[in-house]
Amino acid sequence: MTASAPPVIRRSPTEWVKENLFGNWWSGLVTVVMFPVLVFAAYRTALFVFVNGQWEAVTRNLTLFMQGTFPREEQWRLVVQILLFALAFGIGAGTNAASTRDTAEDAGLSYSRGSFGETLRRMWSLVLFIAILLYFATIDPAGSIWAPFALVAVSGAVAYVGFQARLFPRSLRNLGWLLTAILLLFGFQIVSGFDAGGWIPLALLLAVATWSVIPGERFPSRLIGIAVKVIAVVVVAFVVRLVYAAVDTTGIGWDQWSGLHLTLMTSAIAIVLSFPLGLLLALARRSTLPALRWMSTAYIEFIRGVPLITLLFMGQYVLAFLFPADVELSRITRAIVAMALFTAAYVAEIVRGGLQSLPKGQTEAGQALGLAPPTIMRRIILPQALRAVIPAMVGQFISLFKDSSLLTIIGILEFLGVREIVHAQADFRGVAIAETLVFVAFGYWAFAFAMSRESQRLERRLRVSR
Amino acid sequence: MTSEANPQVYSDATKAKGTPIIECVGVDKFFGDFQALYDINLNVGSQEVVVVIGPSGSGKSTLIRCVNRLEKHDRGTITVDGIELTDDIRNIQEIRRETGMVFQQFNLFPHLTVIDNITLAPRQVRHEPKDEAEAEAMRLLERVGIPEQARKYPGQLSGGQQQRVAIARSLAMKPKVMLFDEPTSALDPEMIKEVLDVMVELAKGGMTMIVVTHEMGFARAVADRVVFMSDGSIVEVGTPEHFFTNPQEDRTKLFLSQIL
Repeated sequence: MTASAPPVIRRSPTEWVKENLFGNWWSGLVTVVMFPVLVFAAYRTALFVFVNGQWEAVTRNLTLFMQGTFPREEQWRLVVQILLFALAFGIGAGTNAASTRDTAEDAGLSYSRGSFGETLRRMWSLVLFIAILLYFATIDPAGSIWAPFALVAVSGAVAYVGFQARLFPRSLRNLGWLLTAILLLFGFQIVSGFDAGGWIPLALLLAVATWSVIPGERFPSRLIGIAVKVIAVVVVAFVVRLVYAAVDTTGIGWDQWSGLHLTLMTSAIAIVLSFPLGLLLALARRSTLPALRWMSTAYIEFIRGVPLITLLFMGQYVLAFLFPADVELSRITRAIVAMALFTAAYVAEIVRGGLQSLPKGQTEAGQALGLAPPTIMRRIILPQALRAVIPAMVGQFISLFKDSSLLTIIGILEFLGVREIVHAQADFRGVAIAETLVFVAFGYWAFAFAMSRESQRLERRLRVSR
Repeated sequence: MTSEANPQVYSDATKAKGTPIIECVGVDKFFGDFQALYDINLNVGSQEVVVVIGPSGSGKSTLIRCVNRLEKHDRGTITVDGIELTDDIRNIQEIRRETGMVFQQFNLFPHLTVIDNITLAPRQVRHEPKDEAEAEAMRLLERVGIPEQARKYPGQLSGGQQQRVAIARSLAMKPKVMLFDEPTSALDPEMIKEVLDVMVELAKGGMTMIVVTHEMGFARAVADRVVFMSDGSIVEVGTPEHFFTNPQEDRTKLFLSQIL
């Protein structure tokens, strides 16, 4: 038997139109009615965007939209942040492409070789957004024209260099992920500063890495292995603390952040916090201990019954009562806490759905092998449950990202809130309101769409192992 | 009916096999108000192969699921290799490590490759180093005849191959007893043999096995004893020759007449 490709049916464009747009009388009718409507809508949109729109309100305030009232003389911090994030993005994408290839190769499946261009194409909404920002930058007569282009070009180059992490040998795959995480952290801290408890996240990251790198089972007894691991982790944390104490620079606290920068940072932090919290809540709700189960259920049902905006206000006015008087939380911290607590309840319900979707046989197979219940959860149930709920969870995160615009209402100037400054300017008072709104909406869409595309890709990739 | 009740039929075979490794005494099991097992008394000797047959709903699966505490029995005692099953979780885990189980639906872990499925328990429970666990897993895959599938995912394998991986996964924990819960019932006919062949090899190697199955050919060829269950009770126990040629109970005769 010889293998043959499935037959390819070729259609000319005319045939396609005939088949799909005028296949029968009602399809033809819909086409005839909808076509002028679409043309008219496209015409009016183009007219607004290219002819009538007064985009000066945006072009002259680009910096304001991006970084808001962030101190201008400290702008270098944001530039370094962008470069570090670009490198992290590159290394992360490269490592990801390589590990997809590993999995596929091992299992003898076909795979498309991940390329840098392919990664960018997947994020086309962001590429379009950046292109529009660059175009606007050329219109603005006051600003420097070459600086934005240089920043984008250098970031792209840095990301491309980082993408070469896909050439790392397989044994260094986890190093790629670790580098990505460390660069994201440094990118954050170059702005926020390396002082106070700044050493803790890096110490945690390196502690986890150290713990997993040391082969505990190689030691004569299990206890010695664990002892060595604990000592190594403590030493690593201590060294990190010393280094941070030596560097100790004060940065720009997030109470001074605003604009798109603030939107992206608050959302990212709230997402990162809400996931583990939601996971714990989901596990607690399925716990055999009634006290845990009731508390988790009560929390989830309370949060789900309260609007986010109410929680944000409560974060500003009620959270203070829950902490000792000398603990002073900044407004942004309180807002992030409120957003994370809110999203965690929804993440918990999504994860619970995933846990329930698994057949009972999976747990039984683990039990029959003599695995301890926590191991069954960690190694068998959670990996499958979380994969199953990726789309729903990313949807929740996109929701959180968009809802961060509610911070405007509690007086925090994030991306949407910057408009208030713009329209307080003499030139734009009551003018070009539609233009700034459209611009901001487009910005939100660009990021939300990229997240959604990324989740689809992740879902497809993980389907390999199903 | 206990094993002591018809010694003339099988006692010689049992005694020759040495000390009992599984002892069930007066086991009752309820699901709510429904009684699934009635006063089960069954001993399985070391290296013995016991095949449990009976109509569906007769409690065959429930019985072997009680042996490794996937179901909790409500009355009576079950002792595995000298350890009595109690609510103590340590006891339960110890017994589960000594008894491997193969399920009708395979229950492989779909997110792990074949080799990771096999090495998971040795690495997590016995803390074996990765390379040793993998070397042992490859030996087991050779034994069940599919070493070339080691890096694939369960979803890429046929049913028969998956079930053979499931057997290898259980063997990786070096169990003293293997429980088979209708291992071939979910397989296409052409794949049943490849799984049964592995089980026959296992039995020849001296593994103690309790097999719930509808494969009468397997029971005839491999079983030391056949246990017939109906409506939650053991109706008749005997050697295959006795059981298939000269059954004593009417219920057994009826069942055999329906399936043979």
